Amino acid sequence: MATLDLKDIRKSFGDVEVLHGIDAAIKDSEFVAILGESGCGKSTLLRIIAGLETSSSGQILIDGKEVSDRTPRERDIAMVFQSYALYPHMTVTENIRFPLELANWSKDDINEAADKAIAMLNLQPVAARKPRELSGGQRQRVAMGRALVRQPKVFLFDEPLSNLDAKLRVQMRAEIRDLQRQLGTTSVYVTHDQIEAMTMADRVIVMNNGKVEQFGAPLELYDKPANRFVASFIGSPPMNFVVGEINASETVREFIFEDMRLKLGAAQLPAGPVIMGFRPEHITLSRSGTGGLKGRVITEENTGDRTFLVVDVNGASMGVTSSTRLDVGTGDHVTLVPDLSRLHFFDPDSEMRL
Amino acid sequence: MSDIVQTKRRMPTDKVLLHVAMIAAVIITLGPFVWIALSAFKTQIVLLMGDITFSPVSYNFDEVLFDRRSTYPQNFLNSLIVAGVSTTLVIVIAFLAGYSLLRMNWPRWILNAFLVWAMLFNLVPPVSLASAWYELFRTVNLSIDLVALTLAHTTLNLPLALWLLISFFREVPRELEEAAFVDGAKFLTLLRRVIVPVMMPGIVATAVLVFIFSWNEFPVALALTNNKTATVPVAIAKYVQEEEIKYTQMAAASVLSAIPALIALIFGQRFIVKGLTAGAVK
Amino acid sequence: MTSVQLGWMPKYGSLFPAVVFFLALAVLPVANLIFLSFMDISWSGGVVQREFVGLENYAALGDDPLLKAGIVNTLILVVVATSCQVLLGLALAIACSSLGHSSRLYRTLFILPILIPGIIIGAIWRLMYNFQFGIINQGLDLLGIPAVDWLGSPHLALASVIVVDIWHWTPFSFLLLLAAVEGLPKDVSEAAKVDGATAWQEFRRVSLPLLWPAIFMTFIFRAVIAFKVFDEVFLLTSGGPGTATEVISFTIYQRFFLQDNPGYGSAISVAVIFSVALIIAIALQLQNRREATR
Repeated sequence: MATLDLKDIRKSFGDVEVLHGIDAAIKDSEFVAILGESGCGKSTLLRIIAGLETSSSGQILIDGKEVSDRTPRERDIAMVFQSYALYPHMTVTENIRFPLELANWSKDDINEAADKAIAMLNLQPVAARKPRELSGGQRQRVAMGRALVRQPKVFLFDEPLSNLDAKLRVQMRAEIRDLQRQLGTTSVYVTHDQIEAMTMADRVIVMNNGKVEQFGAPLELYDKPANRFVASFIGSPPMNFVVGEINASETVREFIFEDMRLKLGAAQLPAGPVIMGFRPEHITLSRSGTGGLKGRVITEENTGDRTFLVVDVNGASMGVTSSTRLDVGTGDHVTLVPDLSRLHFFDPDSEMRL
Repeated sequence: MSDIVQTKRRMPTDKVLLHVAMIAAVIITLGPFVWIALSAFKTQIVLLMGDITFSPVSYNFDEVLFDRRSTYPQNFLNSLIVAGVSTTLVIVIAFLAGYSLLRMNWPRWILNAFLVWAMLFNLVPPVSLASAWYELFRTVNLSIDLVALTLAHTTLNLPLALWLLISFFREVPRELEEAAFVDGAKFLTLLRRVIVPVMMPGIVATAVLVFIFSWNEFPVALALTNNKTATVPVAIAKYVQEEEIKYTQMAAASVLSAIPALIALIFGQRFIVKGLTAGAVK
Repeated sequence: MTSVQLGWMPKYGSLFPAVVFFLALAVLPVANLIFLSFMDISWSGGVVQREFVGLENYAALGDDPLLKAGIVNTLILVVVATSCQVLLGLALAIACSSLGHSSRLYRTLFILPILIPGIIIGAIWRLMYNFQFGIINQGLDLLGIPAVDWLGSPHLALASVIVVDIWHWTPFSFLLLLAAVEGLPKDVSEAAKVDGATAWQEFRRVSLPLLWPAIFMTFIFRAVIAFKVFDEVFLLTSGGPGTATEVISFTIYQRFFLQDNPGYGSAISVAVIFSVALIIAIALQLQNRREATR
C-alpha cells in the first residue's frame, strides 16, 4: 500500500529532452493508466519509475520517501513487461518463486506465497512447464504472478496486453482489473489503447510529446477534455472541430459558423474567434433543416448496431455516428445539428478549454 | 544504451575501473606485436644487448626484401597466389553448392551429409590431412607444386565456407527468388542479379576469413612445398632452423607477413566478426 | 518447386564441383590414409615397398613413448588453455558488453591475434621468451629476478606454450561469448533487477544459466582447435626439451615426415581422428541429456 508522487520528472537523451517535467500524485490503491501514442515518452516514464533508467532531474516518492537514486531492488516495486520477460530457463513455479528467493524469504513462506499465487491465477496445470511451453495468456498470467507474489508497494505494467489476440485481451483486462482491486496495490499501467485505459483505470494520465496533457478520471477526459489534443485523442471516432466566432450581445450569445447560428446558454464565453468541438455521437441529423451545418454524405458504414457517416461540410470532413439506422446514402444532402448541451470550446491560440 | 546512461550518474568509478582493465587487456594483446615491430628495426647486436633505446635501422627489411639470396619476395608471391586462387575457388564452389543444397530440393540427407562433413573435417588435425595429401599428390607427381597446395587449401577451407554460406543463405527470403522467377529470370541471371548482390556481405565475410586462413596455414604448406614454392609461414619457420638464427630478420619478415591480417582488420573488421561468429552460433 | 522451374542442369551442375572436391580430396585421401595404416612402407632403391601388416601399426601405438607424451601434453594443454580462454573470454565479453558503445575500439583490437599466422605468433613469443634478450627476462631483470629459461626448462616449457595458446586464442572465445552476451534478452535482465536481484544474483541466477549453452559450445570449439595445435609448438620448442612439449600433431609430423614412416604415421592419424570424433559425440550427448533434464 503506497502513494506514488512524481515531481517535475525530466529526461534528456543527449540534447533531446523527451520528458518535459512530469508531475503526478497517485493515491494509495489507485489504478492509474498512462495513455499516449508510441514515442510520447510514456514507457520512458515508467522505466524511470521502475529505476531501470534515471531521470535527468526531478523526484520520485514512494510512500513519501524519495527513491530517485535507489536501484530497482531498493524501491519495492514489481513490473509486468510487454514481452513478459519470463526467465526462459525456469519453470512457472521457479519464475514465481524467484523474487521471493532474492528477497531471502524463508522456505515455508516462499512455498505458501507461491502456491497461493499459482492457485489465484489458475496456473496449477502448467506449474512445472517452462515459459516456451505456455500459451500467450498463460505467459501473461505467470508475469502477473511473478509481480504480485512479493506484495510490492507498486505494480508497474508496460503494455502487458499488446501481445495477445483481441478476445484474450478483453478477458485479461478484466482479470488484471479484478486482481488489482482484490489486492489493492497501487498500480501504474502504460498503454496506447484508450479502451484499456478508460475501462481499467481509476484515473488516466494522457501524455503527448513528453508532457501531461490531462490527468483525470476516464469520464472527465471524455466530458471535459482539458484541451484540443485530449478532445481529439479520447473518443472514437474523434471529435469534429469547426473554427467560428462567438457573438456576444446583451441578450444572446451565439456561435456563428458560415450560415449556422447556435444559440448558447449562459456559458461564460468571451466574444471573438473560437474552436468549437462536438462529438460524432452528439449530433442530430436531418434531411433538410436550418440551424446546423449543411453538407453532403461522402461515405457510410453500417455495423448493424451503429451507423457511421462522413459528411463533407465545405471541404471539411465531419464524422457522425448514430445508434439508430439512418435512411441516408452517399451523395445525400444533410444538415448536422450538434447537441447544444455537449459542445466544447477551445481557445484558437492556446487550444485550451474555455 | 540506457544501461550506460543509467550507471553513468550512479557509479562512474565502476566504469573507470572497467576501462582500466580493458586497457590493460589491450596492452597485453598488442604488446607483443609492438615489441616485435620494434625488434624488426634493431640490429642483431642491439637486440642481443637488450638496450631500451636504439636508433632504428631499415637493414632487416632491406635484407628480407631486396637481398639477392632472400627468398622472401618469392614466398610472399607464393602465398598471395595460393590464398588468392584457393579463396576464389572456395567461394565459387561453396556458393554454388550451398545454393543448390538449400534451394533445389535435394533429399534432406544430402544436405546433412555435407554439413556433417563440414563438422567432422574440423576435427581432423591438418597434419593428418597433410600426410594424406602428400601421399596422394606424390602419386601424380604434384607433391611440391603450388597447384597441389592450392587444391589442398581449397579442400581445407571448403567445409567452413559451405557452413558459413549456408547459414547466410538461410537469411535470404525465398520470396525474393520466386519474385525473380515470376519476372522471368534464368538461373544464372538469378544468381548474378539477385542472390549474389543480396548475399554480398556474407560472401565477403566468408572470403576474408578463407583468405586469412589460407595465408596463415602452416602444416599442409610445410608438407607440400620446397624452397621455391614455400609460403610465408614456411619461410618464417625456416629462420629458426638455420644454424645461427637471424632474429631481427625473422622479426622483419613476421611484421611483413602480418600485413594481410592488418588490412583485413582495418577494412573488414565487421566482416571478420560476422564470419567468425556465424560459424559458431548456428 | 524451384528445381522444377530450373531444370536438372543447374541443380546437378552447381553441386558437382563440391562433390568432386569432396570425393577426390577429402574422402579419397582419408581412405588412402586408412589403407596405408595397415601397411609397412619403405623405400628401397627409389621404389616404394608396401607390405600388408594388418593391425601391427595400431598395436605399436601403445608402446610409443612419443605418442604417449603427445597425448598427455595435448590433453593438459587442451583442458588448461581452453578453460582459461573461456573464463577470460567471458569476463572480457561481459566487461565489453556493459561498456556498450565506448568499447568499440577494444573489440577491434582484441581480434588481432586470431588473424595473425600461428607461425608468427610462435616467432614473436620465441623472441619474447628468449633467455638472453627476451622482453620477459628483461622485465624480470628490472625487478632483480634472475633470468628464467622459459622454453628450455622441462618444467616450464609446457606452461610457456600454454600461455602462448591462451594469449593467441582468448580473443576467439571472447568473440563467440560476446555474441552470446549481447544476445541475452535485455528485458529478462531488467525483470531480474526489478524482482530485486543484485548484480551478482542476476549474473549467477539468470545470465549464467542462459549463457551456458554458448559457453559449452565455445569450450568445444576451442578444444577442437587446441587439440590440433602445431604451428606454435613447431616454432617455440619443436616438442622439446625431451618430450616436455610433445603434442599429438607434432608426433604425427615426426613419425610420418621426419622419420618417413607413412604406415605408422597414418595409423596415428586414423586413431586420432576416430578418438576425437568419439569424444565430441559423447560430449554432445551429455550436453543434450543435460538440456533435456533441466
